[in-house]
Amino acid sequence: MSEMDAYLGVFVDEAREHLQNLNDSLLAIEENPDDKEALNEMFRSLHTLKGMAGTMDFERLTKLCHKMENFLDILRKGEILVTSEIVDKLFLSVDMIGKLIDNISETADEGDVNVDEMVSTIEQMMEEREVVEEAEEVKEEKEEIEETEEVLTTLEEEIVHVIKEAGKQGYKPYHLVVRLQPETMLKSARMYMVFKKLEDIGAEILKTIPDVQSIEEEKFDLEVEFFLIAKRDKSDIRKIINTISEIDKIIIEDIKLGEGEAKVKEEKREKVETGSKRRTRLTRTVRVDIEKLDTLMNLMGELVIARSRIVETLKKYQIKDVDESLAQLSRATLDLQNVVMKIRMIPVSFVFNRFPRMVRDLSRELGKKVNLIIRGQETELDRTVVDEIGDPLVHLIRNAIDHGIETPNERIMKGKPPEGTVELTARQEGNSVIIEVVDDGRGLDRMAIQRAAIEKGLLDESAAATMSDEEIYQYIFVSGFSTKKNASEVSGRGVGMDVVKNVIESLNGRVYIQSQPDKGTRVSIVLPLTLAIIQVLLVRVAGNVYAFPIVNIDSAIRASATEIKKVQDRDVIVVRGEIVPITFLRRVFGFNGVEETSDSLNVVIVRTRDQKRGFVVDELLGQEDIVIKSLGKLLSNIPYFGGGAILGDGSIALIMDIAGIPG
Amino acid sequence: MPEILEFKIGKQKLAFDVDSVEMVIEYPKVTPVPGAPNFVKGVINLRGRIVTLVKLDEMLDLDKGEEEFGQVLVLNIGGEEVGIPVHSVDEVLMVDENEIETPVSQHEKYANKVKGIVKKEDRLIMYLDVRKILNLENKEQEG
Repeated sequence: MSEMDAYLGVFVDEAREHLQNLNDSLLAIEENPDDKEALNEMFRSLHTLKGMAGTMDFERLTKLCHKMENFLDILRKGEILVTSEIVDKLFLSVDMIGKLIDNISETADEGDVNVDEMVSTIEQMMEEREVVEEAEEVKEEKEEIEETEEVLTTLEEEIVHVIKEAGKQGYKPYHLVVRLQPETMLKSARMYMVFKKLEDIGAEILKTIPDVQSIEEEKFDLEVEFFLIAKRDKSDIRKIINTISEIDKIIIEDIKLGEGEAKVKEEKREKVETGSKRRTRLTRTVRVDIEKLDTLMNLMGELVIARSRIVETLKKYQIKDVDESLAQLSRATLDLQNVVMKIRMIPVSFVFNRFPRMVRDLSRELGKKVNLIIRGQETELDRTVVDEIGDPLVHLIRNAIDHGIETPNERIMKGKPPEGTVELTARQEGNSVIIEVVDDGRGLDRMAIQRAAIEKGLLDESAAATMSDEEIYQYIFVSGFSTKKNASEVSGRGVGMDVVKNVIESLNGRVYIQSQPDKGTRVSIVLPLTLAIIQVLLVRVAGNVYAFPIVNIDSAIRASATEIKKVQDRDVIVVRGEIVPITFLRRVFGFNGVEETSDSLNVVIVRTRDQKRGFVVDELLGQEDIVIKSLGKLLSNIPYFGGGAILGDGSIALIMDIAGIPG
Repeated sequence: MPEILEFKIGKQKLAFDVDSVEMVIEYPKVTPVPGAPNFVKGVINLRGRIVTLVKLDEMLDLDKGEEEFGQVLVLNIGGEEVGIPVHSVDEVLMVDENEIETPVSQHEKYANKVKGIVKKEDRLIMYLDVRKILNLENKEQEG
C-alpha cells in the first residue's frame, strides 16, 4: 500500500496534534471535572482520531478511540460522574494512544500494543451507568437519492469509444458520485479507498472530476465524480462503496450513450457550494519538510556571502551607477533573510505543551503538590533550537520538582503554601530568547555544592571562600556532579545538568543560575533567536580577522595607552566612570608584537551578563552579517571560538566566544 | 587487497587508504586558531566549508625538514573533513596483505596508529590507520 504511505506522515502529524489535545483536555478535566467544554473537546478529538485511524486501517487504534469516544459521550452527558479514578484510567488510555502513534510513526504498524485490556476496562466503567444505550452508533442510511435534474455531460470521444468497446465484453458504464461527510479527515485517503474498492471488483475508472492528481492533492471539496465501467450492477457497487466509512452519499447512474455523446444524470452543483462554505475555517498553511528549509537557509547563506563579496569588490572601483542597484540588492537580501528566518521560527509551545502532563505525573510519583505556570509559550524560536531544548528543559523541570520543591509537610513547616510552584516562561529580549525555570522550593545548598566540589578535587577550600554563590552553583554543571545522597528514580543520578549545559552551549546559548535558600531557584537559559546568520563586528588582530557578535558589544572606543591602569595586577580602563577590565587579544592568542597603533588603542567593550570587559584589538573593520559555520569536531571544544565564517574575500573569521577568554 | 595513496612528509614515506582521501589541493592560506590543540595547524576555506588542518608530523613526531608543505590531503572520515599538509603526493598502490608487516616498534606515538609497514621494491612505507589517528571522539576530550 505504497500510496497509503504518502498519507502516513500527515496522519502521524495530525494524530500527534490530537494526542496533545487529549492530554490538554484531560488535564483541564482533572482540574475541574465539570468542565463540559474540555469533555466536548476530548470527545471531538477522539472522534476525529478514530476516523483518521479507520481510514488508515489501524484497527486497534480505531477500536480504542471508539470505546473512549463512547465513554466520553456518557461522561459529557453527565450520566457518570467524573472521578479521579476515571481520569487516571483515561490518562492511561491516552498514553496507549500515544504508544500506538509512536509505533505507527516508526514502523508504519501498530506494533505489539494490546488494547483489549484497556477496552474492557473502559467497558467496565461504562457499565456503572444504569441505562445501557442500545445501538451505539446507528449507521446512517446512505441510500436516499435525491431528485435529480437531467444534465448533459459530454464525455471525450476516446472514453465513449472505450465504453462502447467494453460494452461488447459485458462491461456496463456507470456515473458515480461519492460525497464525503463534511468533517472527513484525510479526504484524499478516503477517496483512495473508493478507488481501491472499485479496482478490487474489477471496475475500470475512465475519468474522474476533478482529475486524479487534484484528488491526491486534496483539491476537491466533498464530492468526486467517477466515470467507470464494471461488470457488477449498480446495487453491488453501492454496497461496496458503502462499506467505507465517512461517506455521506452515493449516487450511481447508468451512462446512456447517445450519438457520440454520453447523457448522464447529474446532481445540481448547488449542494457542493454550501458544503464548501462550511470548510473555510481551515487555516492556510503548508507543511514543509525541515530539510527543505535547511537547504533554503544554506542558499540564503551563500547569497549573503556573494553579496558581501560583490560589495567588497565594487568598493574598490567606486562606480556610482551600481550603487543604487547594489543598495536594492542589499535590501532585498536582508528582507529575504528575515523571511527565511521567520519561516523557520516556531512557537516554544511545541516543547512547552508536554510539560503539564509531565509535571502532573512527576508530582504524583514524588508525593508533592506542584502548580505549573507556563507563560510566553507563543514566543518563537528557530525550529532547530526548539527541537533541541526539549531535553534540557525536561531535566530542569525534573530537577525543580525533585530537588527543589519540598513535600507538602515540609513546606507547611517552613510556612509556605503546601502547593509548590514551578514557572516556565519564555520571552524575547532583543536578539535573544530567554527561557526560565523558576521554582519556589528549597533552593540550592551552596555549602553542599562547595563540599562536593572540594571532595571531587575541583576546588580548594581557600578558593571556594572567595567565590560568589553564582560561581559555586556553576559546579552543578560539571559532568558526574551530584550532591543528592540517594539517587531518586527521577533525577539526581549525577547526569543531567552537564547535558543541559552542553546542549545549550552547542546552540550558542548560556545558562545562569540564581538561588536563595528556601526561596527557590531560577535557571535562565539565554538563546540566540536564530542560529545561522548573525551580525558581527569584525576586528583585526595580528593580521587575522575575528568576529564579535553584535549582541555582546557595548561600544568600541579608542584609548591612549596611558589610560590603561593596573589594579591588583589586572589591566583596567575607566569607561564613562566604570572600571572595565581589559584583555590584550594579541597576548591571549599568543601572537608576538605590539598593537599596531600602540599609543592609541582600539578597545572593544563587550557586555557579559554581570560585567563589562574590554578587548584590545589592532583594527576595527566594521559590521557585517555572517553565516556561522561549524569548525568541525576536532575544534568543537576549543576555548576562545564558537564557530567560524567565510568572509567576502574568501578568508576565515573566527567568531569569538567571549566567556571562554580568560580575563 | 587494500589500495593505498603514498605521500611524503620530509623524507618519510607514508600512506592512507585511498578511500579515505577525498581530494588533494594546493597548500592554501591557513588561518591559525589560537587555543587549539597543538597538533592543529589552523583552518582553511575549502569551497565554503571550514576544514581543520592537522599536523601529522607533530602527531607522529616525524622530521618534516626545512621544506615548506606543498599540498594538502583532504580526508573524509565519516563526513568529517580533515586536511593534512604534505610535501608531495606520490602514487596509488595496490598492496597485498602479505606485503604489510606488523610494526615491531611499539613506540608510544605509533601504537595503534600504524596498520603496518609496506615493503614495495626498495621503499618502506608507513601505512597509517586514518580512523585511529583522527579518532575524533578521543580528540574531543583531549582538545
